[in-house]
Amino acid sequence: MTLHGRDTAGAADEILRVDNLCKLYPVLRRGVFRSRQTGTIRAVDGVSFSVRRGETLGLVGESGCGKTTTARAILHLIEPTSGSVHLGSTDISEVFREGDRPRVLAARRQLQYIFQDPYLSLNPRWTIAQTLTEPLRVHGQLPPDQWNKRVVELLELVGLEAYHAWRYPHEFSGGQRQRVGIARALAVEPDVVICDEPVSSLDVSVRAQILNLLADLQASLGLTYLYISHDLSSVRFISTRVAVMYLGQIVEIADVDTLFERPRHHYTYALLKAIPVPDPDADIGDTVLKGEVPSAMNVPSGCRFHPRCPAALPICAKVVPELKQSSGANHAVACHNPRSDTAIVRNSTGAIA
Amino acid sequence: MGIARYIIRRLLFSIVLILGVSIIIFSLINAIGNPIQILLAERPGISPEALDAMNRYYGLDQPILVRYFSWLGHMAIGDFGTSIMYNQPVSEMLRLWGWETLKIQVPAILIALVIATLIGVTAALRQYSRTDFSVMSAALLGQSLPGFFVGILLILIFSYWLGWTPSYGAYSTRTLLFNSVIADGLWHMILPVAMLAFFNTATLTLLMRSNLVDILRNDFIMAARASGLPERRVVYRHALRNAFIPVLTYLGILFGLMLGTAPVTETVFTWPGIGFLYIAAIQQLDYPVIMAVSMTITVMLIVTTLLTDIAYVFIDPRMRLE
Repeated sequence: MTLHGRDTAGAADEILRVDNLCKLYPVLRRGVFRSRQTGTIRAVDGVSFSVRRGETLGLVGESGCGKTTTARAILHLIEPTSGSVHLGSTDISEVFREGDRPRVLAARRQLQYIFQDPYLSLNPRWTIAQTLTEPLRVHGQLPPDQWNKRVVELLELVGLEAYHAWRYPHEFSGGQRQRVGIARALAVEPDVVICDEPVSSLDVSVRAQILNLLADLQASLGLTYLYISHDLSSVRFISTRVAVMYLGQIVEIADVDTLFERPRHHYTYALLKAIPVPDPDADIGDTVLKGEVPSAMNVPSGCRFHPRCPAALPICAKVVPELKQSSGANHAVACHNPRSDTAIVRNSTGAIA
Repeated sequence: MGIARYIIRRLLFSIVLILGVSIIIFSLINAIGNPIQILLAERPGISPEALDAMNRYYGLDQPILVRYFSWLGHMAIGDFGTSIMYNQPVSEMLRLWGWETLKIQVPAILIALVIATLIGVTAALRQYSRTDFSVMSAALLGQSLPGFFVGILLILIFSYWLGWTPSYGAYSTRTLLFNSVIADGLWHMILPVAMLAFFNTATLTLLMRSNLVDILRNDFIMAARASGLPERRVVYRHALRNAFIPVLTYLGILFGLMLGTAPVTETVFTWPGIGFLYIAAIQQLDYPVIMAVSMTITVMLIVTTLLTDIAYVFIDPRMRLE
């Protein structure tokens, strides 16, 4: 397995570092008495990146490329197969492995998660107050007589009102529920929040509200986000840097403007070209990628993108490209034959020419 | 306010349902024919005067509608008539024999609930493991075996081969165990309770496991884990309460159908309960008893369903507004 190069977030202010994170699932053929392993699903395969304090790293990729698995493996909600996660100077993979309660709690407190679907992520039989009090109870940062005050504070922080505390999730709209989900993540005053497609299950009309809320909270509380999404426009809006994932690996990582204007990986370019533009005459004929995303159970040799890549060379089928620094200081790409480092040309409607 | 209206509506509906079933039971019994005629067929020597007197005594000379409403009216004040085979008030018999049925059914359901929760949780937490596979197979087998077969097997092993337990009845006829009515009663309860609990446990375990597996997949369970809650608390505080909702429905059905499932158990163990009485009444064409037990089964099922529905409203906040 190839070790991928680390991207170049400065070591000084980096708050979250992920090193060679892997999550492999054995594919078992079940017998009556024993099971045989017939394959491996490489959901996350050697992902490395780091996030600086106060920034937002966007993580984009198609459905099924391993974004959510990466997020849950970082949180150790899914046990990673290998690799490590550092939070500040603490190796939290080790903390979770050892299971020392106070240290696990400290890691959980600093690293919080916002779920994709606010309809599934709130206990349907708990009032909002119960849901928001739970983390306070678990972490014991506040004496019980201040819990109610804190719940009201949290609700106001996310734009809800005190009387909402006594309601149940089913009495809220999707956007309001997602606000509750955000309040729950913020209850324990975390440093890093992983937002796993926080707006993709919401109506388009409320997406902007939630994105603005996330941005405001980041500014006022000094939060660091890992923002996961397949929706490039929301990623561009909220991110400082962006990492692009394909089949369990990061193929390109750069500052947001660099990535959107001077992409070097052909997959990134194809994703950008696929963004719909408000022009019925726009030509999208040759922008759509050929073929399907290959199964993570049977990944192509060499560069995983080579069967679909318009610029594939013979070497691409044999050698796995490493994630290497490109021209810009903050631009890394994993490609044998990258695009030239020039800005993409757009026409008047914003479509890529 | 919404809750009160809901309960009243369900209550009225239940009453209509009970009346409907009472009409069906009454019509079916009538379809069997006049019991006096059946008696005449067995004993041809009865004089016409005696037959007339009997018809008048049982009210069989009245038109069918008058008989139906008279039956319904008496039932409403707890008068189910007199048993033909025992010559006792049926209401009194229901009380005595019913107690014996409750004595084995209620403990069997409670024991099953406790065991099923423990096993179901264990299996669900280790989904697809060997433990889970074994539990599922055992439960499926337990659910598929006919109750009477398990009962007879229990008698064969524990009464016939090992000689540890009595094989029939609710009390010893000669010497009581330890000279105590309670000890002797409990001793006789072991096998029938075991047979009923066996079946109930199998079904409840499967239900418990599959619900819990479903709930544990929910994001709010992962949210609880992400907040740092220890796994035990995640399962008991978040998952179990949600998983109990369908189990509650099934418990309601179990309690409601208690009398309906009683005949098999009570026949296998010659247990003097409602089920045994019901079978005997049918064999002897003891009309008042057949009708009374049929109505009791109906009312119990409808009342427990009603109570389950009402309990739902209090357990599941999502039901409150709808």
